[in-house]
Amino acid sequence: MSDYQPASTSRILTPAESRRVDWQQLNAEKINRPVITYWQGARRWLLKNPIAVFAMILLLVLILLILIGPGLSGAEYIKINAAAKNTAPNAIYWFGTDTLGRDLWSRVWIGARLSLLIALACSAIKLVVGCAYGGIMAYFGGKVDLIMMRIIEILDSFPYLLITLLIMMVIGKNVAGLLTAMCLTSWVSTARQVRGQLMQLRESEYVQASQMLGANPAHIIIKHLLPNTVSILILDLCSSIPDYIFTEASLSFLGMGLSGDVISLGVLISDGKAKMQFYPFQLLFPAAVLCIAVLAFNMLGDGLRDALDPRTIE
Amino acid sequence: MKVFRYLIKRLLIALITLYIIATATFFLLALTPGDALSARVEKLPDQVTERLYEKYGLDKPVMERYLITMKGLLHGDFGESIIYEGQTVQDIIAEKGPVSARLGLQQMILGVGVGLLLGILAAVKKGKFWDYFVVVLAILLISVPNLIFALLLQMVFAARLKWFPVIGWPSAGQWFSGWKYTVLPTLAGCFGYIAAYSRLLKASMLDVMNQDYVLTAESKGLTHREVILHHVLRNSMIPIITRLPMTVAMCITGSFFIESVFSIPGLGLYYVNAVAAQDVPIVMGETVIIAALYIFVVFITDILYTIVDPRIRISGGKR
Repeated sequence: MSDYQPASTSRILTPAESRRVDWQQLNAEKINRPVITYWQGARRWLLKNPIAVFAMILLLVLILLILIGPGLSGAEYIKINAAAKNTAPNAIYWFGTDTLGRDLWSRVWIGARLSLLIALACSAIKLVVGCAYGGIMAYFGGKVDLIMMRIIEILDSFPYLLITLLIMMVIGKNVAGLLTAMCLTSWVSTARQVRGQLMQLRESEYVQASQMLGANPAHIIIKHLLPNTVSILILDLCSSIPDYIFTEASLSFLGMGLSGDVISLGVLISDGKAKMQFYPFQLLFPAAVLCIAVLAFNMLGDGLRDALDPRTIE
Repeated sequence: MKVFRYLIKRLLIALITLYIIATATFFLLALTPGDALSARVEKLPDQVTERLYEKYGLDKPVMERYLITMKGLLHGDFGESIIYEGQTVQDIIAEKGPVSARLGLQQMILGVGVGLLLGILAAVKKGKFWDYFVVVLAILLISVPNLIFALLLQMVFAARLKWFPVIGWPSAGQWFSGWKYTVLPTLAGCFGYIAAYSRLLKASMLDVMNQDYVLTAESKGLTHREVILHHVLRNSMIPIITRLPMTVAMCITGSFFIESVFSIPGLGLYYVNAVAAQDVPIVMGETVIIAALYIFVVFITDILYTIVDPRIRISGGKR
């Protein structure tokens, strides 16, 4: 009996750690296995997941290319080269050139840089506002909670894209307009989640037990409320970043996003669409980078969902 | 009586919500620099310009226009389009609505159908090849935005292979004719549904499969097929049924990107153009109608929950 090992425990612990203890040495109070924290456990599960590891490598490569990519090819992204218009990909222009003879490789990475920055900024705003709003709702409860919930319900009923378009018209087709438009209603889902999680945690037995044992509020917040909420926020971040990248691209594509000399993936896709029948590579490269970025975030998010929620581990 | 009070409360909240949305839309439009006529009157003499502004009431101060618009909304009168003379919102919805609705419904039927089948496959074959196949497929389909799908399909099957028309939509006999035009837009839009619904059904089925009554059914000696069909599938439909109304609503209001890529004269594309041209009556009308549709759908969804799952009661008030 003693050398029987269930598959699931041997996957997160080394065989030595997960060994069964002989009943003769049994001491019910003693914990025989090393205690690992929540985050250690999450990291273990994440690294055991090949898809998540692949996603992380993909993301690292993407970020590296976004940082140093434009300089690699030696061609400048704004330099107009009239002699090399619409060149197919070759040794000098790795992704070819656009209609004005500008190097597409460096333009794609510059564009991806802006797209990712916008997505990160939006996600940060969404998280901060959502946490504050949700936290206040859960903390005060009662009437405050009720009124703030009504406001959320009203915001939820706004047709998202329509409001986004209107805001872009008012503020203008620039980065500030885009940030406002995309953040105005999207923090609502974060606030809902944070509120729900906090309410649930407050009622949970282990928090009550902790209170009974005389833990002070700071301990409860740091030890119980925060870790369980942070996991939700990380997941939220992983799903909202690709959403924002996509929304930015779509708005720019409709001609309602960024305009002027600004380069983003959406602007590049929109430019590429105009010439797609003759020079499909001008559309394919920015589109591929967008899809790979979104895919990487989605795969990482899926891996994190399993790793951060121990209840899904079977 | 509880149900009655609940309904009244929901109705009141819906009206207040609609009022706030209409007001917000109006003032956002009023804040936008320029107006619908500014492009048109550039070359006209001053007198004509004045008359034009008078005709559409754009010469009045903002607050007065707001009151007029709100009064009109109360009577269901959204006013006349400034860009397309003589057309009202109702005309436009009657004309463009079926186009968007047909496209949306085709996407939905194909996407939800395939998605549900894949979801069943993944749940039944859990841990085997088909499960992983569906998981990977779903994540790929979710990661490629439908805008990109639309462009790629258009590039390959329309521009290169010339199997289907590049852009356009059947004009006569809107519901069934000209299927060739609808193939690519339908495909481009259905992938998202496939991914979403296969994931949803798989998760729901796995959840149900862990229930005691499924164990009971298994131990009574029923065949696997019988258990899946009658015990698991039935009970795992709850999240699907409650999700469907929202999908239908999104279908009817149209898909901006796909309509834009394939130049389909639907509500979505029209709305984008109306916003760009600052056609106040049309934008107001469409926004309010779409918002009303959304609110109605959320309400229907809440009611559906209590019908398909009797364990949820209205008085709880929790979704």
